Amino acid sequence: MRKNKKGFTLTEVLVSVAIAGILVVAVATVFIRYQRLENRFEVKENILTEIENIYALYTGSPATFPEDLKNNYNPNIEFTDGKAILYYDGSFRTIRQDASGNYLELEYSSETGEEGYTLYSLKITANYQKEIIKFTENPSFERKIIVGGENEE
Amino acid sequence: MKNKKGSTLLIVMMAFTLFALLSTGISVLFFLNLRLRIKKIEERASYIDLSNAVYQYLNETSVSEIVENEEFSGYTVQVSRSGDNYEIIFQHSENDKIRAEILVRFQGEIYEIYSWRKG
Repeated sequence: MRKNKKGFTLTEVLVSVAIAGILVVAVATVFIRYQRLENRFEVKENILTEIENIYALYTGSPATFPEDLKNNYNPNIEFTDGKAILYYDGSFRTIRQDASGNYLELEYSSETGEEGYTLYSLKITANYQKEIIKFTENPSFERKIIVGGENEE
Repeated sequence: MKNKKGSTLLIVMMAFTLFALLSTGISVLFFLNLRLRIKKIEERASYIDLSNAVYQYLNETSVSEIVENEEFSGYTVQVSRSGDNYEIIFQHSENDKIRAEILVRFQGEIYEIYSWRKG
């Protein structure tokens, strides 16, 4: 019988398949990990965009913030005991009507001082998959604005 | 004698090495991109924190208490007066990029922000 020198030996094929397998698994692992991280970063970016938009609305006119929020986001939003929750889809891109594990918790309050001005406060906490997502060392963002006296519109 | 076995194996190994090198290169690019995004996210979040600190500073400071240079909640605050307005530079103590320049007018305890420049 003539030996086919052009072909691969069984050992070569097995070694090649093993190396190819290791490479494919390594590449797939890296890619899956990358995808997961990318999704998480996208969620974080969308959360920050929402927080920036809400603060822009609030800073413009803190006195009318609850109404402005309803008009701009969802007419069903109610601040019960100074707290409202905005539910989002998995990527924090669109608001959902029903409860989900992804939400922004808004704590809103105002107090009028003796001098006649009002101190408004808005604290925003982001939750992703029911867990608080931290962006800085603080678990939430809190902005307080004084309005009143000669500047009150 | 021609070593056909040796050259075939060499080609296969070279193909694998090339694949591994390409994969490593792409992975490095992926993770560099992610690092850049993390940095941008951190900067955006820090900037929101800075904005909140600016409002806190303005709430707690009255005209008579304004100091040219001071530290406030981890930020360096530089104030200069131009007429009735105050130019305030708010900068993160550890990161020069987290910075805002604002123009404010005080009327008693109440402030009015005229302009806000980021960075």
